Amino acid sequence: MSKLPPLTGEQEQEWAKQEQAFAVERLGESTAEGDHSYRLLTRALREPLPVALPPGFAAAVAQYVEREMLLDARWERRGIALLLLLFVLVAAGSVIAYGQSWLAGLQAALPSLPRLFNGWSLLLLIGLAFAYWPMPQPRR
Amino acid sequence: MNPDRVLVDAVLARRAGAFERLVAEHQGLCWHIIQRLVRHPEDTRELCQDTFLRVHQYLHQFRFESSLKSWIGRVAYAVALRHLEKKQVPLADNSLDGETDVILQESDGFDLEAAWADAELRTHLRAAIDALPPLPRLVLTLYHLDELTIPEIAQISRLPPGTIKSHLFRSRLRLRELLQGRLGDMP
Repeated sequence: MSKLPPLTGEQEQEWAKQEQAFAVERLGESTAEGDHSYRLLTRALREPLPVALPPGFAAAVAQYVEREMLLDARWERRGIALLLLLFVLVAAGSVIAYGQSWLAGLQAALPSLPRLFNGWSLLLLIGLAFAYWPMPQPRR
Repeated sequence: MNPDRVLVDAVLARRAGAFERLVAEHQGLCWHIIQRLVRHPEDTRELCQDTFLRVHQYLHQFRFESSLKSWIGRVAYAVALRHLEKKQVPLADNSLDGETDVILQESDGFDLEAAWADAELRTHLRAAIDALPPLPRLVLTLYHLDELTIPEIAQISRLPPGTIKSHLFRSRLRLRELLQGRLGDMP
């Protein structure tokens, strides 16, 4: 949107006439003051718009917004559940495919580990860590 | 405490009826902005709904740098503008930007109330206002009907205050010329 040039001195005088007519009409006083054409114009501009707000619009909009937000939240929850499922499947697949080699690698790196944690204990430890890992709090 | 902040906090805290109160307080301005820009009643209703949906979605981003009224007005303006862009409707008409003679005659002994009682003249005036391009039409309504100040209209439209003043001046001058032509034709 292009800027419009500022008003000239003569235009500023006309602006003052427009504003005076507006002020007179705004006060609603019965007076002969002010430019008549601008006063008629001001009256026309202050009339209500042709199509009024439908009755009960605010309540209807609030309900509509509530419904839309609920729908959004439902899709969001479904998306998160799907992602979690995908993550669990990938994790399970990885453990099945590479679990033995990871365990062997770990045992080779830490020779004293088998005595303290045999394969089952390690699995139990991972399970406990997963169960008690702090999960993000749901948004209020 | 700032009433805008009280209302916004209540909506963000999901207090019962808070959002409906927000809509009730600002629906008039939203309706005027959208109706003046798009004119179609059904589109106005849908776009007004979309505006408040956006307001609800982005209210947590409102930083109280302007009034809530101006912020909601800006959202309504943006929603209506996008609609006009899709329909390829120009927002302003360059014919209003040109120089206009400001020397207009004022007749003596003019009966203002009799002229206003003339239904035909009023219909003519309404049609002339309606025929203005969307932006000047909106600026006139916000200034005269909603009684917003020039800085407030500038905040809503993101146009410089000087441009808003020019739109107001030129549109009113143009309408006055049309009105005077009509008054001259009257018996």
